Amino acid sequence: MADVIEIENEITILCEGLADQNFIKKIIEVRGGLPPIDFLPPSIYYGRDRFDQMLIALKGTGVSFSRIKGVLIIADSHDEPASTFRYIRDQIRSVRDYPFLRNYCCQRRQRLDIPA
Amino acid sequence: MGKVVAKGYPVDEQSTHKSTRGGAGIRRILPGAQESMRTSEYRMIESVEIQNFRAFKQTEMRGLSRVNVIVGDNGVGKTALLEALFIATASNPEIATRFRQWRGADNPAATGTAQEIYDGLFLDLFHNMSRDSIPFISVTGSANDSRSLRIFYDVGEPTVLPFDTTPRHPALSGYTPITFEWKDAEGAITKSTPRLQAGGLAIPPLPPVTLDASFIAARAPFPTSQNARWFSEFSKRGREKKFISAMQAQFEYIESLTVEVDMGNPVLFVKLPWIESKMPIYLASDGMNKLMTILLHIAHSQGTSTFIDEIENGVHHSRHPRLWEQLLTFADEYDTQIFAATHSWEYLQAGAPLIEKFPDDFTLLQVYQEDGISDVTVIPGKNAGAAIASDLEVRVKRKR
Repeated sequence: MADVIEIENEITILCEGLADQNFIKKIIEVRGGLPPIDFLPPSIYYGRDRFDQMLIALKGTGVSFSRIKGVLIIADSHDEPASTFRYIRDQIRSVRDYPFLRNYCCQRRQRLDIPA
Repeated sequence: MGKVVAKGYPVDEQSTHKSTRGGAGIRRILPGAQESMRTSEYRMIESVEIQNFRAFKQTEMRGLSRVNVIVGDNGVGKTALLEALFIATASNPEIATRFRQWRGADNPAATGTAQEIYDGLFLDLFHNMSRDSIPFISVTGSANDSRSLRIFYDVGEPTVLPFDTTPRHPALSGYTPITFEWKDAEGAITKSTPRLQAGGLAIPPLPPVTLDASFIAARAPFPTSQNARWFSEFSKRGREKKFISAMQAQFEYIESLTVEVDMGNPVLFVKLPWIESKMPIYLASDGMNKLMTILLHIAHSQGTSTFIDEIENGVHHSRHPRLWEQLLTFADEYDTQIFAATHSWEYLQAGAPLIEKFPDDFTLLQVYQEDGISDVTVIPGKNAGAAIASDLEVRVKRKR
């Protein structure tokens, strides 16, 4: 039986998978100074196609969900930030229980050989 | 990796949840499910308001469904929630005295003044055990069967002293009684004021209820004779087979289930292949007896509700998935709404696939407490099923 994940903090970060999650955790650990953060995905929902399911599940934590002040979704843009944004935004919109963004904001590409 | 900045952008939609009624596809999908016995629209409690009942100060619940699973830490009010719903759904103050027994109170000879004895029986129903905190429970039903209950110290009721030849108990002096006042959807009021007498508590006769809600307490013994009588009633109408099939689906080795007379009382007996004679079901297996009790209560409470405290107790975890299916199947067939409390993560996990399959038929009620006040969060089946399937904790802990 998998460990039960308790959502305890005010910030939750949703990643595409455990590899991304570990990467982000390491960045936060090195950077320091951030408040405690909970991470998803849990055991069964992962991938950029499953953010909607993660959001549905997160709301199912009820009282824990009511204490959350922010959910940060981190997805690989695959060098297509606009379409990635729309794809993720449409998942958020389909859940219907969350506010979502109309427009995206991304860092301008500085060099042609390095993606934004 | 790209970054999406999530600050300062307009909100397009706010969180909304619209409650839905029970799904229609269950009978076609679940094994063992049969054609529904219902002829009219499904009856159930859709919303509840509780004021000043035990640790609940002010609570509202909307979006209830056919199977409502109650979770929460110890001592936050799961059982109190079941009690509130049961006493509002039923129509007899005697139920309040059962709560004491179910919670483990024994019944020593009452001593003290009449008021002390009376308060000892009923004051715990009042929030903070304060006479001024008048309990009020309102349930809104789906079939014009809404009703409410108010419990209050009735200063307008005179104290009646028993008029008999036996020496009067010195404690039976003046006291202020409590009145239970039920009001139905048409505004008709049913009142009952229990009174102390030398022999005990006298409860005035009340009109019989047409729909009989039922309660399976966590600590009380299973009602052996009652189960046998209910089974016999179904058997007389040729409807015992679905109980036997359900029991055999869980315990495939059961050869028969019959009502026999044991020490002058009706008792359910089970025939097992490795024993020549039949044996009482309570001797065969506690889990078997528990399952039969649950199924009979659901069937008996046709058109109203069954309340089950600590549903998982006594049932092996391997039988949990089928228990979930049987709950839903029987609730559907008998038009019974279920409220079941559990502590068990295994039990919740076993139900996740069914909850995700029929999200409109399930609701998770998270009972929690802050600063000694109980409250409830209603989680739709869609969210609850996904959370449990994702191993996200839904059994909220007590917060001081």
